[in-house]
Amino acid sequence: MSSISPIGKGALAFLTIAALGALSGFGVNYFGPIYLTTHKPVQPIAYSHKLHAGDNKIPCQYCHTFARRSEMAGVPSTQKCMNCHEFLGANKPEAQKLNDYYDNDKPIEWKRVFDLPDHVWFNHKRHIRKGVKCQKCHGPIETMEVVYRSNDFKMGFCLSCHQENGAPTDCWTCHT
Amino acid sequence: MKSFNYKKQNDYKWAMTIDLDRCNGCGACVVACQAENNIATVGEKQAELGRKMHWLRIERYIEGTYPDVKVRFLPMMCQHCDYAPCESVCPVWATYQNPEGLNVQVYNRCIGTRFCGNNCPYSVRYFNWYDSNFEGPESNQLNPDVSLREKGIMEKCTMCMQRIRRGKDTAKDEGRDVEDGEIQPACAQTCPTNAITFGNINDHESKVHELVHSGRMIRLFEDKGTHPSVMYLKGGVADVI
Amino acid sequence: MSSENIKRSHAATAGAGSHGDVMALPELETYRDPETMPARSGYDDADIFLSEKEFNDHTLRPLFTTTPAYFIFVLGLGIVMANGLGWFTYQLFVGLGQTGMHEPLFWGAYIATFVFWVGLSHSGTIVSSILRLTQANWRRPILRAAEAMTAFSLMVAGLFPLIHVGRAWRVYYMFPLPNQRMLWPNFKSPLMWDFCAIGIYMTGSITFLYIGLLPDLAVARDRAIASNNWRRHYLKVLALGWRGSHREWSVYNKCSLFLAVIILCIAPSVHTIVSWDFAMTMTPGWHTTIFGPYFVVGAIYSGIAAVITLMIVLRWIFNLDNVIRTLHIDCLAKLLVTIALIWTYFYFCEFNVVWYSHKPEEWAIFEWQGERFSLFLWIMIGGSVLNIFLMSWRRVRRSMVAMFFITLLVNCGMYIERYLIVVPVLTHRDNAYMWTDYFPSITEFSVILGSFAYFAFLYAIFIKLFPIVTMADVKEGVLISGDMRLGRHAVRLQVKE
Repeated sequence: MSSISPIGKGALAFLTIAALGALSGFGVNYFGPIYLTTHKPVQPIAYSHKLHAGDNKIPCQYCHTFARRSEMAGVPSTQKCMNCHEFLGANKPEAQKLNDYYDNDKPIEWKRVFDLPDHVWFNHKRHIRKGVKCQKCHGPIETMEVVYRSNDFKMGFCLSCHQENGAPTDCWTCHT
Repeated sequence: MKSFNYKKQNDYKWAMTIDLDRCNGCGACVVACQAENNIATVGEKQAELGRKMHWLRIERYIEGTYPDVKVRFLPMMCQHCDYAPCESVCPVWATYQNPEGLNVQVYNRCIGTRFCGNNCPYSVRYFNWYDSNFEGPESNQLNPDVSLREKGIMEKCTMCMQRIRRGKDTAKDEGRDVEDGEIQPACAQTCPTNAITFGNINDHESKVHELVHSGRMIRLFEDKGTHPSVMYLKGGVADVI
Repeated sequence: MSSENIKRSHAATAGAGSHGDVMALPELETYRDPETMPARSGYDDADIFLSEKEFNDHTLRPLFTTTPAYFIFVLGLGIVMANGLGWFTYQLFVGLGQTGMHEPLFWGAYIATFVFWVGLSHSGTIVSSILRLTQANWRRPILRAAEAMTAFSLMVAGLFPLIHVGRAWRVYYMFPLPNQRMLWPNFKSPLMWDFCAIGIYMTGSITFLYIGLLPDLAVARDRAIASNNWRRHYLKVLALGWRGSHREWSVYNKCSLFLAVIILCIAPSVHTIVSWDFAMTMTPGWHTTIFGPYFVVGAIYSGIAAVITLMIVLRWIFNLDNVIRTLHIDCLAKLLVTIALIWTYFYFCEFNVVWYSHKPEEWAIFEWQGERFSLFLWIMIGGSVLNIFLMSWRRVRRSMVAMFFITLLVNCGMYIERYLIVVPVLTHRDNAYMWTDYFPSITEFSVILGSFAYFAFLYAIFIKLFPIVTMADVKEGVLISGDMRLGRHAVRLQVKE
């Protein structure tokens, strides 16, 4: 390295720092915090979407009935679970847990995986009625043993789809 | 002059009329607006400093001296100008004209340069000097459709955008256009004397359209050329509607 | 002149730099005794009678010798800065309610200070570019100090938008970078133009300052290496291996001329754009066509005044009497009188039009100014007029004490002018129902005071890191001029650049 003059060293150091700064700034701005996409909380019951929606091919809206009726998709009540699990696999340990919740009249405290900030107003009804597939936003949910956040749900994610499909891109469509 | 014809672009062009001959300055609209839109209550001290956040305020003007005094009331809110001075100066597009003729404020885009507030001749934009503070039972009455505003951003009357959106949503489900009078902002709904009328001015059958063309219509600061969507009715007989 | 002082200072630094100074030149003699031959305009009242090395010793002394007083001064500045920073941090976490602003006054003392600092930054431009292009020979020793002032006041000014905005952590929304939100800033907004203009001006003025520094950095580098001073580490890198070869000088001269032209184009546009932050709105009192030139002239006015103040202070502290001479202050003061006349004319134009037409919404603001800020108004206008008369006297122009106070008064007046542009207009807006009053809070006072301390701090650091006198230019001036004896008279000769 001794062949590089002090000017060269200085210039090199400056350029490296500048390039790294610019790259990291660009990266953070463009891709956003990556950690959000791997959000994978441990749920109170080890419910498997792969088993229910994948292998047994139960339609999404059999359980998430409110998706086509309101803004929120909602999680099913324990009663709805018990429709099947009163008999099916009732002696499995996870189903036992469900049974406890049902018997004690307690709701299951699911940890929320897909959450949007307070300033975003999302309407499930409009999207479902338009025929948008659940997987478009929620990822390959039928293959997930444990549900994780498969998309970053940043604004560019929503906006690119809206632009492709000619949906409104007025800010007040989603923000108030 | 731009006409009221947004039909080519959009079915809706929202407008509002306020009948000054009917307004008695009761202030119900102010309260309704405050409840509907999660507007922060700033407290006595801040209000004294002039930091009240009422999106809709009633301005009182007193005419004459003591024995012959007349009080005039002027409900003042964002005028949703067609040529809004606040829009062009925002460096980040936090405020712009939406296709339905409303003047949009996007809270989460705002960085708080406050240029829009300086350029608004009506002084109807409000700044969050502190974080809004809803404690105890207050937080139970918050409207879930309206986001809470952080400190450091501008806010203003949205013509109850959440209501317009819900009205349009319902109409879309039923495969029809929004009917006249179906959507009402909180202030219009609450007004005991029916002074406030809201509707789609592109719909020539609507009540707003009729009132605007009744010959009693005035706009505030018309010389500014801002062309507001909020219009005032004045000077006629009171029983026009 | 204080030749005694200089001789003493030589003795103090005689051993400092034995290592190769850039240009080896024979000692220059003075042909003229300043006591018996009074100076004419264009004449120096004391020609340089120092040798090249002595001159270097003398002008580099502030760089290499530091007294305890300096540290005490910087510590004091640090305390004021820390105070401002503390108040600002509190404001950042709690909210802008800490300021005295309220509806409908959304811009207050912060923006007034911002405009003041941007205005101050015009000094370096005017002194450097214009005087360089017009080949005014007296400009030479003051270039560096003025250019540094441009750069630092711009740095301070650049902080104010950050201090002023509601959500400083979201300011990157204004950067025109590709982003996942697929949103762009609004290039129609005067604030966006402002943002770009100040960015360009800052880049340009720092480049200008740096290019001008090169030959002097080389001299300082050689000394630092010779005396094994710690400054050699960065001076070696920053001097870019300057050797003083013919080719280097020719490139350097071309480059600085080129930059002078560019900067001269940028500078007025920058302050015009700053004025458009106000003039482009439809607010009565701001919406006038005169604001562009009025702001530019105001900026140059306050800038030149600040240069004079700074020169007098530097000359006093660092004992630079024989470098920054009375002649320079005199010439700058003449320039100041000219600019003051233009500024007063613009103010008269602005006022007179409104007063005659008596348009209610605009006249209301002037009336309110007269009611609420009459003292300020008198300091601003009275001070300006008084200064013009005072500075018409040669004696006043050549008195350092008088000029110090006059230029300080000018800058007080110019700060007031910015305040009176921002505040009374906003407290008396179109909607008379919302008329209010405004007084800055302690947060604003502390932050603004901190900004002044920050400027002084940057300057103090600069003086200890880089040569403050434009040595190369001064030497060039000596080289290209001299006296010739014609009979009993000494005649000034000068080579045109």
